Amino acid sequence: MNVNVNVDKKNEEEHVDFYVREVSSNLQKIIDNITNLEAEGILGYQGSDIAVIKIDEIAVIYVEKRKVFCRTCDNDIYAIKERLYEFEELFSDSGFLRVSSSSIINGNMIKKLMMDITGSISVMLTNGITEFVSRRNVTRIKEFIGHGGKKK
Amino acid sequence: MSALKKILLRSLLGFPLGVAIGATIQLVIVVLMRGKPFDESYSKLNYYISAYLATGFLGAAGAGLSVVYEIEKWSILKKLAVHASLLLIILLSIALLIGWLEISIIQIAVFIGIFVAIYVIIFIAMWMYYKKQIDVINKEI
Repeated sequence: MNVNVNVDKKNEEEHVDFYVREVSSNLQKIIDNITNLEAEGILGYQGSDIAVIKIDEIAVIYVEKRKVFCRTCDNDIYAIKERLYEFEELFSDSGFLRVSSSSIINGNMIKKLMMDITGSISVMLTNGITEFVSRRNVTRIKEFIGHGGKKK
Repeated sequence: MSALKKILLRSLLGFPLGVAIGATIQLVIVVLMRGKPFDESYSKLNYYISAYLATGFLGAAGAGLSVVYEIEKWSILKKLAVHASLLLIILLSIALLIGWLEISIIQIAVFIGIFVAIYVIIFIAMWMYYKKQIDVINKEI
């Protein structure tokens, strides 16, 4: 595939055009990345509605029945197209932490960690929701908090 | 790797490990007893064969059952309880079968008591370890 980049300082509205025979899954990923870059957010789907969710408004990204969902600070739930590992790769620098094989939390929203009598560990976020934490990821949270947390 | 494949692979590795641990324990006993540890009712060959198989199977069972520790959603208590119960059934059956234990209520009760006590100590130690980690993290938040 030929790639052309035209740099023109007079260009008033920056944009990207693709001339392709079909939109492959790889191309879709590139499009998603560009869209995310532009909006500093991800696209969330609620039925037929599509919304741009700003990254710092995301509380938890989790997998349920093989689908990926995003829960916002206001406890709204959206389906998203990114896979869990893709989201982790894209936004780990924004303070997002993997806490189990099925969820990623916004590290900047950690309120406290809790453990019940059976030894099950969870994290409470500032919006009041709790999320299960697997034992091996406790160290990850410790490192995040130890390094001043709130990476920006 | 599927769970079944993992259990089989670990059991295969656990068998020689069990034999090695069993042989080491036996060596210690032989040294401590100055060469007279064996029950007279066993011929030596039978004793070695049954001890080899028993320690091997125990090693295989212990290693194979360790996959329960990888079930992420289970609490520490559930993992230890499931591992302990299954291993206890296997261990008790083997111990009674080859004569490590007599079929006596007191012997079996003491045996189960010691076994459960070890798991309770492990649970308390793990619980306290994670509680401490969590308290440290919570202080820093």
